[in-house]
Amino acid sequence: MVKYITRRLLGTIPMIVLISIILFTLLQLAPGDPLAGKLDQHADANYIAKLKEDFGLDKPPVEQFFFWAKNFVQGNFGVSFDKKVLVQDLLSERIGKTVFLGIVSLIFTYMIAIPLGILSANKPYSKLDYTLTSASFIGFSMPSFFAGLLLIYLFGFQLGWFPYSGSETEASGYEGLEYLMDRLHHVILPAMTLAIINIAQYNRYVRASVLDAKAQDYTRTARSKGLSESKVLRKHVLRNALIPLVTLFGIDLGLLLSGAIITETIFGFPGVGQLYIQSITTRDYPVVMAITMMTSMAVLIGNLIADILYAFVDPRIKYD
Amino acid sequence: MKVSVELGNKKSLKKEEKHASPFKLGFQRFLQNKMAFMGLVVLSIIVILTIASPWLITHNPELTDLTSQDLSPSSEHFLGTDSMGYDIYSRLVTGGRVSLVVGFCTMFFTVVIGITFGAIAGYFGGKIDSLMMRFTDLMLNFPFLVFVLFLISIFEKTTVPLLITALALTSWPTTTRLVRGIFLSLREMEYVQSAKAIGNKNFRIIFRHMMPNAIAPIIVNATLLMAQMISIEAALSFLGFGIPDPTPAWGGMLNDGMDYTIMTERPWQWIPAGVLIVLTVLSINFIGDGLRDAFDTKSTRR
Repeated sequence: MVKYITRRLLGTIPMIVLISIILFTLLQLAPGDPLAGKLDQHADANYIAKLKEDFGLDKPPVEQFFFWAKNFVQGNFGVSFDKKVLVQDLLSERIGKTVFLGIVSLIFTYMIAIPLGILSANKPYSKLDYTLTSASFIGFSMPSFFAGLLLIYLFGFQLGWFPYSGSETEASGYEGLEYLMDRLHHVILPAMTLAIINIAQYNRYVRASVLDAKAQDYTRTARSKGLSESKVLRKHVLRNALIPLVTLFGIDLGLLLSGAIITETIFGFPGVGQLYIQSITTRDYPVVMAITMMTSMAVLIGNLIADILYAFVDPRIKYD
Repeated sequence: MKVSVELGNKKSLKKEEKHASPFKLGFQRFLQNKMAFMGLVVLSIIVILTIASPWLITHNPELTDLTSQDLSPSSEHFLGTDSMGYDIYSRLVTGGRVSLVVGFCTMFFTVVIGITFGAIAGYFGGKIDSLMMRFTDLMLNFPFLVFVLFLISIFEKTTVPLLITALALTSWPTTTRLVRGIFLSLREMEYVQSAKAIGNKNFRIIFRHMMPNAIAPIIVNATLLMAQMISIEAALSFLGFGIPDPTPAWGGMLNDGMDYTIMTERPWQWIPAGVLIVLTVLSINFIGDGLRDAFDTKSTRR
């Protein structure tokens, strides 16, 4: 097992290098000067040259790449063109917020989708099952920005239950538990927006998985032993049916950082996704590059976690 | 008389039984699926409305009228006007164009790339396969929306061809994996082996012998892909990275709903665009699901 994990971990390194080469090459295609538009046209030529030197833009692309890569490995992601601060400082403020949003949304997803899926599978082709299936289809087809706007309209504006902007009450002076509750209060609507599509997918997935497990021989054996229906369900059906969810969990973890771009924009939630949209609008390439790298690495690691978890829960998988 | 009619019926029945190809059978199953059929009807209506939009609009959807801003719905402006003085109804009817064109073209190019790469990797296997799959896996590591935005940020102005290219370049890996998987399993089939044995060219085996057996799951995938692409196009327009004004797009119209006053006091300005996006995506998803049930006979899903 340890050998397997080490090998997989080492295997991610060339992947990360290739990803960075692809992104860097693509960025070279960008037309014009990233500094254009940041300065007024009367700026002194010497000043522009000095800025270019500061940002390393006067060197040939290959040298620029190594310059960037060396700094990236050391945790120095460069200076934001737009905000003139270190990219890592910009990011560290925001990563925690995005992760918090993602985790709350995942909790919603599992808490709602799994019971609904089991309910559906309990009485397949019943009215309840059809209703849930139709609801899943609508949820699955609902773009998150429309869902978000509807949630704001309903729960934020009409009912006034939740705040719909930001990640906390500004200058509230809350501390401890009060502060946590305030954060939670702010995160509920965006987390729900993010969760809708996931719930729709997971609910279908759980339903199929449970139905599949119910048709297996071991379930029949458990029943014929005379176990009560609820015991059959808990001890035999669910235990096997929910195992594949573990893989999905790893993939979800990988998408935690990049999954909330639209949602964060709608809710003015100051996370990584909102920063990404801002940086793309202002063509702040150091930030764009750093976030694209980090989110891609997150996906890579998420997939790795998924594989390792799967190897853990399913003893049939050989990992050497 | 009666007898001959009955005979005729029987004859035609027999004829059909004899000739019904798996495709025809699948198509019949598809039409019996109520939800899929409804999806087909709704999608047809939306497509027809979009095509007929030049005759349905009441105002030029790309022309601002600064004398009539923020009007409420009236007989002159069915859904009122927005802050720029655009007629919302006219923009709504025309707004599907970008979505449908981008959705369809992206789906088409993605499937073409996916079939080419997937068929080559799956058919030849071995080193070619592992090399191509390494590359596919590498591309799968880019989070979809992040990578699309990254590509768009490189270019100055978003145009329809650019949008299609950016989306197709990001979405081909999933389709490639699917096609490769199908070809990998078809490769071991006896009819493929015998086609090889009698000396058919690789190209002919791929297209004449394997493709007809691989096409059903590819079509299902293509349908669901189109729904996803329409949704993504709307998302990009919503974020302001779609086709720029004055071209109307549903996603862009929904963006107006981010404004607090518009959201709360003028719901007619943003809700219809959202409903149209959902209806389009939903109907295509129903069609895709119906196709899967109709053609995938081994599937246990119902």
